[in-house]
Amino acid sequence: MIKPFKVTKTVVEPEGNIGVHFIATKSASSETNRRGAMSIQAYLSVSADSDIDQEVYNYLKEEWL
Amino acid sequence: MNKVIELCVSGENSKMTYAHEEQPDELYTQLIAVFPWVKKEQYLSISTPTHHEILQEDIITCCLPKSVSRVFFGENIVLSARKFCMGSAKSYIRAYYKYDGDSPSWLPSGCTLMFYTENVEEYGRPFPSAATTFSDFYFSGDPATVEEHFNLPEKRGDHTTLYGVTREGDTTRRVKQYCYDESNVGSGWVAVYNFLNDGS
Repeated sequence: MIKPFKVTKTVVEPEGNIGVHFIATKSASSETNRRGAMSIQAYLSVSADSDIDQEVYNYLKEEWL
Repeated sequence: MNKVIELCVSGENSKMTYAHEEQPDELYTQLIAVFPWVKKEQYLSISTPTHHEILQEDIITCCLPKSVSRVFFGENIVLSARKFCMGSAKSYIRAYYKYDGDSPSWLPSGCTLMFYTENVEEYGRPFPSAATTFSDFYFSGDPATVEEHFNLPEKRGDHTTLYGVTREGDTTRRVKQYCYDESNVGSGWVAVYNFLNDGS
């Protein structure tokens, strides 16, 4: 299975949530109409009992994917 | 009329592929009706729907940019394409790799097996589990030899003809004839293979 993101680091936040650093990549078109890869690095705070992959995917799928 | 870069014939089924700015909006309209998350600007090419003999539904194929393929599959990837199953609304990615093994027994003599594929599930997207039961292999060879070996009708492009087989276990489930009437972005399989093989 492939994922359109990679979790690069997780940290426990002071209040107990999980901080998730991740990189996501997708195909995109440039101003010259050339197709290529576009990546973002981002941080997401999720509850300690959550499925981290699912939370990241849910975050990305609305606007990014 | 949009320019076709490739005609693929598999028995009674066929598909045409369009690349870059020649990708027809009508095909994306069909695709987005089933897969609302599809964005035209993410793909290099799109095919017309064609019946898949194993999955038993129509498939539309869209190629992804090489840079994206590398992120997903690593530096050894040759190409990747997203396969959209129009009946079930499932999808998967086909990853293409250079073939380095011995010639398999099903390959006609004198032919060169260039690429093999893996069908891969994507996180968060419905996947047709039957896609794990088969692999596709792509090769070049003398058209008359290939047609005779697989009992195919004579179908050839004016520029070149290349071939694919779909193998499920020890069985060849279909043979595909890829016809190119001119040199274009789709017809360069042999050049890609030679470059990957020995840098020539």
